[in-house]
Amino acid sequence: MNKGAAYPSPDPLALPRKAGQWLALTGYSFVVLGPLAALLVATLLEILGGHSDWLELTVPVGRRLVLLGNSLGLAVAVTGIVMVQGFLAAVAIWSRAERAGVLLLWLVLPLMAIPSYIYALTWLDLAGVLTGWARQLGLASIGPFGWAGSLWVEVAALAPMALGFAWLGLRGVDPDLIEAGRLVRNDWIGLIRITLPLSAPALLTGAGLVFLLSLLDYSVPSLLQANVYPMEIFAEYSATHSPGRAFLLALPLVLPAASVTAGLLGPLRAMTVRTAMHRIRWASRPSWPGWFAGLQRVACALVGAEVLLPYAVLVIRAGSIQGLLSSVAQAASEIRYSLLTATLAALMSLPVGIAMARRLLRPGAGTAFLWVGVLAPLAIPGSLVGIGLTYVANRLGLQSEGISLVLPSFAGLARFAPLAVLVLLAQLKRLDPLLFEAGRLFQASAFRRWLQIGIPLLAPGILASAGLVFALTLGELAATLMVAPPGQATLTMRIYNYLHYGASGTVAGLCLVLAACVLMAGAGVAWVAARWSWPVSAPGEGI
Amino acid sequence: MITVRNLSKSFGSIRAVDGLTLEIPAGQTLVLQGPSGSGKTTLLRLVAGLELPDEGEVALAGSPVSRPGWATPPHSRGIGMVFQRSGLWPHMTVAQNILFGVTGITREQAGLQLRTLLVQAALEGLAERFPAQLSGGEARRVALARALAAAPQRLLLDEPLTSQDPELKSRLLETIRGRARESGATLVYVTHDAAEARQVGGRIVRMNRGRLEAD
Repeated sequence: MNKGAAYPSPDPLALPRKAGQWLALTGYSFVVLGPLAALLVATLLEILGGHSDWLELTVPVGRRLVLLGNSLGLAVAVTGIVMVQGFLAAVAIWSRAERAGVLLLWLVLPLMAIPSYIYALTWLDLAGVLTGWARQLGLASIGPFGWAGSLWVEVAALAPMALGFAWLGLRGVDPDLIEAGRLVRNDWIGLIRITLPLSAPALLTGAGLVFLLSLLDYSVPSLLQANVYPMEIFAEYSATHSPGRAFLLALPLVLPAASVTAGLLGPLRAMTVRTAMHRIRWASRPSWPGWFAGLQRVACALVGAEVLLPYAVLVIRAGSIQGLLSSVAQAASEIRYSLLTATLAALMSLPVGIAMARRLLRPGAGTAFLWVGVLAPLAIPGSLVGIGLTYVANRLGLQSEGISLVLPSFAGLARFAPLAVLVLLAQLKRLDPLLFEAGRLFQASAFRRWLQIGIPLLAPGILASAGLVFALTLGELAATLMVAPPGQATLTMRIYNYLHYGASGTVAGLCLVLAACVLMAGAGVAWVAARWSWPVSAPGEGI
Repeated sequence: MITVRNLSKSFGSIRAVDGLTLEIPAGQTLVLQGPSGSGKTTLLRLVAGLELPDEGEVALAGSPVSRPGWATPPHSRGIGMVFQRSGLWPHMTVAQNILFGVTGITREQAGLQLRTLLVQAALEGLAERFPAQLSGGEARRVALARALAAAPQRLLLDEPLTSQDPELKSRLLETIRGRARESGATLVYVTHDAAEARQVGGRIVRMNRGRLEAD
């Protein structure tokens, strides 16, 4: 039987199947799941050696139970608020589809890669200004501290992501289906019964990711003086240097995160199938009930304030261009190291991501298991990834200067390679298998097929996934703090260290530099994503 | 009555409908023929309110409904439409797709209406299936049943009987004509097939490059 004819899905790289599979499984297992596996081994060894009070660590009681409840409550509240707000704002932009709205959206979307602690810094600063004014008026001080402050800042930090997923969901709905509904029912019924269910995979995926990011983050709550469970993991490891204890302590947090991640499996698979972006032409603008239109306006104003106000604060704080340049000069080595780390992570994510995405395309008994492997890292707190990586490096004796220098890149890869796999898989799935089958007919050389057909067609996915990993690694803190070698610091580490001494012009300048780097990468991703929908209809079709 | 006056619509440099004027009296049938890209689908979309005209006007029962920069919402036009692609909602069953636009009647009446349509459209036993579980021909028939379900005053059918075998075609055509007659609906029917056009009956016009070429 002809192997090529039996191939059920696009195979742009046309590598020998076994070699591709081997690359996917070993590369991904070693780099991405390795730290997690190492932690499991370390924990088992500690338990078997009788060195660990494992039951006490695993079952949270007293203060830890309260912390866990607080963390879950915060994550649920953040997810609920940010998704409702994001959906309302996305509907407002989608149902107008005006150039200004779309442009604003593309300005906001890259901000989803900006680290949340930068938002914390700017809101702290803003609160300081407001407190000054309040005191002058004889009022109580205003501070975004504690749970309310954490909730506000996390909502602000995650607003672009929620808006992005809601927008992706709305744009993913085929306009024909919306128009068929508009002929017989009003726009509100159409939204609730057609558009909302069809955009559910993107909305649920966004909600799941927002929940995970909020649940596993400690940077914002710690800066705003709210105690959350992930901070305990960091504290436990700092005090004991025991990976097993840290892992056991993290389990109560990992379990709900893993449940949400497992729940993401369905929506994510549906989303990777429906990635086409449609632009609907509204002959008559949708008319919404008054209260719904009012809520949309409120949501747009909130997203605008949450996202853009912090940047105004940073620009004002940074002072002049000279001040900004001076901040850059002071942190030149950190900037260089951060760019190097993020670039390396982005480059390494490509072969691993392509190989795994290609493997996930093929149906088979092991595919569901592989999906779990791909999504598992999303449920692991960043600090735990860092602890696992440190453990692997120590056990394998990888403590030379050269290797420790690249450990932050591996941290970025371990945390964000799953996202690269998802982007690449979405790109692979939307390509017509006929294109590759035609390539097999007309071009015998696998390498030329790869060069002339596979790479150009996969290019948007390659650029988007590399840009995403680059931007996210640039802002990564939790794992980087654990693995960065002595004497070396990334830009995020420097900013985070400065943050504890309060906001300053230098910190604002560094934040702007980081934001600019992330924005450039994010804008690249957004630009590429916007070109994902190529015209597919034949000339004249539909006229 | 459907009235179209000096209607024009362009997509970039392509002039899909070019200064077209047409009047279809209430309860009458118009069959539109013409090559691919001649503007038939765009004309239907303009009448349905899914596109805005660049020039000219669409009026229904004497009242203007579309002008450049202004259009009444599609759902207020009393139109049932079969799209060139079936456009079935993938998350709804066949029954839910068909009954989506049916309002103002009891559950029992809706059930009776559904059963009648399922028989007339040769869809017996498929009510609980999802669109992904249908063949291309079955999906077209569901789209047709959906367009007929709310007994609209105007029916715009864009090649509704593609992928149907000849015997079924005749039966479905009879259903369309019967339903249109019962509700006094104005029917605009697009087809490439000359024999089908004659079977539909009524006035037959040919479109080319966005204009009416022959009557």
